[in-house]
Amino acid sequence: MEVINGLTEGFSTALTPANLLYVTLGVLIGTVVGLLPGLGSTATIALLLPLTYHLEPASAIIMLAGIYYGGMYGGRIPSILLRLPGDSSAVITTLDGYPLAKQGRAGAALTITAIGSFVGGTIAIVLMTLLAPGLARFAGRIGPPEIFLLALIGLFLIAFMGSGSRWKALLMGAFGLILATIGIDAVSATPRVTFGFPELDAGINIVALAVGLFGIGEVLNSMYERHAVSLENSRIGRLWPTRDDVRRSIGAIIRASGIGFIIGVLPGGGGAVSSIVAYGAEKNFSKNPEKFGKGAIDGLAATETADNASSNAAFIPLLTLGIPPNPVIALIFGALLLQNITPGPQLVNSHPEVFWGVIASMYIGNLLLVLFNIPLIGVFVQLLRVRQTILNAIIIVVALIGVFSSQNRLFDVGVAVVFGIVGFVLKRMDFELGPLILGFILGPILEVQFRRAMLMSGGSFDLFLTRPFSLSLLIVFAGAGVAMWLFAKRSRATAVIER
Amino acid sequence: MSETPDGSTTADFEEHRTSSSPGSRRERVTGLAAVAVIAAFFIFCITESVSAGVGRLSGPGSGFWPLVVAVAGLLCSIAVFLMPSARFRSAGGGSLSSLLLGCLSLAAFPFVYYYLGLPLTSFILSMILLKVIGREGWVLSGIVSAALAGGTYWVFVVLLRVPM
Repeated sequence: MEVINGLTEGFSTALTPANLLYVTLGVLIGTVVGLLPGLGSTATIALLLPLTYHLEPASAIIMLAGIYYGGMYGGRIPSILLRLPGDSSAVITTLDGYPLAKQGRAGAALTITAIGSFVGGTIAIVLMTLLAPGLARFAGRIGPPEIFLLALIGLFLIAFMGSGSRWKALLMGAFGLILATIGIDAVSATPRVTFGFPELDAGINIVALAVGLFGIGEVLNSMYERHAVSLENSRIGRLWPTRDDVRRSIGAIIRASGIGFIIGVLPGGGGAVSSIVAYGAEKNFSKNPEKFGKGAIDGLAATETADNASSNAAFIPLLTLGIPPNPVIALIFGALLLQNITPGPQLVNSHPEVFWGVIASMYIGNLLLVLFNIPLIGVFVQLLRVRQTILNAIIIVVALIGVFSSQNRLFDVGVAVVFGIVGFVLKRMDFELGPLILGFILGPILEVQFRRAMLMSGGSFDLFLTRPFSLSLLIVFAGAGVAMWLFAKRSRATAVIER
Repeated sequence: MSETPDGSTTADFEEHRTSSSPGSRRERVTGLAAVAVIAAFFIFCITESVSAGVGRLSGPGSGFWPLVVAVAGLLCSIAVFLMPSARFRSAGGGSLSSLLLGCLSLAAFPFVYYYLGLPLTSFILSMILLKVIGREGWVLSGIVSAALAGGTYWVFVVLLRVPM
């Protein structure tokens, strides 16, 4: 009953003409920006964050959510056509997507991924609708030690599940955490590392940081590399998959939906992890595993389905626990903070129009994605022909103006430029920026909850061991850490033997 | 960048192949310098944290959490500093002049904006990015820059009613 009432309220919010317009715009803009090579989901959200600043909270998040999964959708187009993944989650898409494009079957590949993404997204949204309210009630009973551990585990998992060096990822997480401490301490009103700038009393502007790191940094990298992408002679070919394609993909889509949802809910999960696990599972399940990596349409369907399912499921910890499970959701969390809304267990009661409005808009957005993406694939593909220099100019100008518009301060533009240069250097050194932004967003949560936990326990760490849920989290985290260490050790041993 | 089957990164393989070349040494030195800057920032944060007051575990002061994070960050910096993959990847044929010009243009943007306002500053910046750095033609640069300046003005000032 609660779910039905909530959805009714949600759809009444999401189906207003203004919010329908925003979700449509979000989906379209997200798809267009997401397909531009080099700009992943995080950069897409970062660049477009300022646009939502001047909207109503529900409208802002509806539009950002549309941009988020639109960006995921759009990212598969250069992955399939150009073997250029927009972000880590699209890397697996290239394994079978690009070979299919070379076989002249790019159209079928793009369509099956659109359908798979729609099914995966819908299943995830339905499960979210059913589970989120209960989870929010449960989350209301957990305290500072549990929230602290959940946030910390999320940060560690992002670092350990990334594709690069774990030490570099941990360093970026710590860097994000320390940047989050800049400003006036909320408890003691002591300025911390403000360098004497009153503009930093409220901390670093999340919009300036995100736009600088992901938008400006990426463009500077592009200027330095002077790389150009070529569409070559990739033909889209026939749009619709064959009956055999559909038959082989159905099972993969259903399985990948479940895998994507489960992983997307977990801190540190989602994105690349869900795609990798779903791809691996499908390869084990397949009667023709030798075709994987050479244009297996079921492998491709599994990858994209899991990716979209996890993208939608990732909203669950954000809306119910107030803990963003990945860097992109962390930016959406930041957007909610800009709107003076703190996501968490109380959101469903304090701002039901935001909570249920976002869920309802995801049904609409998911449907719009498949409605737009299939007939407009040809149009979107042409956007890939736009020269990089023109894209750079558009990104830079929109980024700088967007940052200025967030708080009407040229200081923020300066901050964005500084972090643009920082982002460029970090990118050239193969540091992942995801842990940095996640650390920045989780930093205040970690500090506040840690302080509260220490006040509760009188300075003793026993609190983390004596509370059942926090002890369970510690055991699971330790177990996951051991499992990952053993897996990595086994992989190295296998590789040495093979050499 | 992906991990290879033995767990090392592609950056490690690049290090193995080119470790002896002058360019490679320059990459390594630049990379180490960047990590050293990050480490120095963490050291600065440690001193600031201590002066802000650490307090006690039962009542953490404003400097407690930054101290914990800064120490962790410093340790991670040291670990990365010792890694062979701590290097700045230079792009073969990369354009340092374009990069520097781009950075200067970005740095000048706030100052120019202060005096000239939104549309003109957007136009000038876009022309620099397209004509000077991107080496596009005058006509294309002019059209795109004008469209960009007008478009951003329309979106932010007219549509979103942002006071600029």
